[in-house]
Amino acid sequence: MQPAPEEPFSNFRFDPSRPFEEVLALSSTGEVLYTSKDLEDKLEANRNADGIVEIQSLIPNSLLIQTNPEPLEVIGLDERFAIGNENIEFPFSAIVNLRFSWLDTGSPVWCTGWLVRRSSVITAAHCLYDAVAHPTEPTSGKVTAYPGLNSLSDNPSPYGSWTEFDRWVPYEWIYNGQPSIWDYGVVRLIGTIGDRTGLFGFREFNQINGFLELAGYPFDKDSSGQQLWSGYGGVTNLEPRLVYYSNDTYGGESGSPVWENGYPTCQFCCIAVHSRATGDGISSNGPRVTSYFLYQLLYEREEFRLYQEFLPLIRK
Amino acid sequence: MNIHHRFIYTVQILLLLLSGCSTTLVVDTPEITPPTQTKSGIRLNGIVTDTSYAVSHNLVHIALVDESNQIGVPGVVSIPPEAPILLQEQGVFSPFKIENIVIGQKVTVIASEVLEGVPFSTVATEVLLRDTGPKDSLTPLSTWIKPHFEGVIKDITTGNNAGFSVLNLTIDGVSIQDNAKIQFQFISITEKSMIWIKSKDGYLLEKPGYLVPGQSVSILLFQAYDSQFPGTFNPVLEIIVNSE
Repeated sequence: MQPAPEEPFSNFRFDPSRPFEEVLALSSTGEVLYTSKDLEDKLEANRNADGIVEIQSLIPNSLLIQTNPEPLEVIGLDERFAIGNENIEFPFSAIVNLRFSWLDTGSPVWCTGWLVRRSSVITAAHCLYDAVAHPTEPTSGKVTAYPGLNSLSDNPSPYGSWTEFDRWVPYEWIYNGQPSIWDYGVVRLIGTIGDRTGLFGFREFNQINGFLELAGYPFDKDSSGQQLWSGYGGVTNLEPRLVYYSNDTYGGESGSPVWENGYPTCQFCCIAVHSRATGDGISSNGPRVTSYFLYQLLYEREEFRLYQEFLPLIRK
Repeated sequence: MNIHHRFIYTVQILLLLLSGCSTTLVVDTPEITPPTQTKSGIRLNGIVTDTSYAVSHNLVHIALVDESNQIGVPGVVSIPPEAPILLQEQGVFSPFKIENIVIGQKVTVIASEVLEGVPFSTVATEVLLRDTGPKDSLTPLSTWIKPHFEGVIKDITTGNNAGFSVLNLTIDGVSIQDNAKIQFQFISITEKSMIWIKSKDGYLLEKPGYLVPGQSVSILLFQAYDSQFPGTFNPVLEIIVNSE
């Protein structure tokens, strides 16, 4: 990705016959991607009687499904639990350790992600592009993905490693000062490992009745970032584009999936992407799966994408 | 303007000049400010590990000291111009310049949120430096948390990682965490690694060229030693040379 140009819209080739509202994404090479009727129809087909869109998780028949233990009472400082051999069972098989280097330091680092398509991993945008913390080299180095990685398991790396093909982060993340509501992105892999690991679903929501589950690779539990941990929490606040929750989190868990444990009609459907800890001492937050984000996720799921880098654009 | 008025005018000018001098004197003296404990947010206690981008980009790298987990957590702190940088000495706070921050200085960063990647990153709302930073007060992380291992340098070779020159060390040593005695390979000193030697008053920072085979060292890595993937690059965050 290139540093922000002074006139970000000047290089794009818009179709004058189509309204601006139909623009879905902008490519780094000046191409404009428009919404399609197929995509609109797909979105509508997944809207339930309450008007909520639910995109189901996809789980191969051969894959065991992890039956969640009884939710813990969320009180105290640390309610996380280690994942053991369940790293080969869904949903933990679809949680991905993303390893890379920042080009200004060269040090190996990591984030967490989750497979949403057979070659697409959702993570936090700040793991892919961060001009605040890395102003001289804001784009992180090429990512290597390890689905289900867990050194606490008898099978620590059950799906091997997969290298990055390309990535996108929201246009607004780069050009609008990296606001938290746009802190999500996609890493596309060379290969289709999602066929074996299963895929997370995603859904809109108006309220959460159960516990939120969040799983990733926290630095404090293993400072080599190879242990998969999960934990429960509750919603502490909702904003139109952000979810706040009480799950215990730590560095290394940026990009982790957040889903409602045991939600009946859309199990393992993510409602947020974990991004940051907040200063109130009790909450973490992440961008909420809603509106435009949902559209982009569906776009990834349905493989309408072209093989080039596209940056999604918000419709005002 | 009569003589009387001229006298008053002259006195006013003199008073203005004196008050101007007085203001200048106050600015030159370290300004004493009240403690800023009222700042809310996350408080991150650690030490400064890199100041390469302090002046050019208002960034410092720190290692957060997590004593309960015995880890040093690497992080990047952006300090916007509006965030006060204060030196805290004996309960008194005075302004401190970003260009005077040095590696090894104890620091508390106050921020409204922390991005939870590795390294973590945050935008400071306030920065409190908890020592003055002269040589004798610099503080290795390993004075609070245990190093990953201790041992003797057996071999040093030059190498390259991601375009950066490194020194690769082979260490015969003991893992502090599990007390296992093994040979650690692929340990790399980068230009960001802190190399400490003990002095009579405390610790001093040294250049990589100071390291030679045969030295007894304590090593804290940027991350835990990676035994899962053999050959992995394991950069050193801090190395303390205990003896020749």
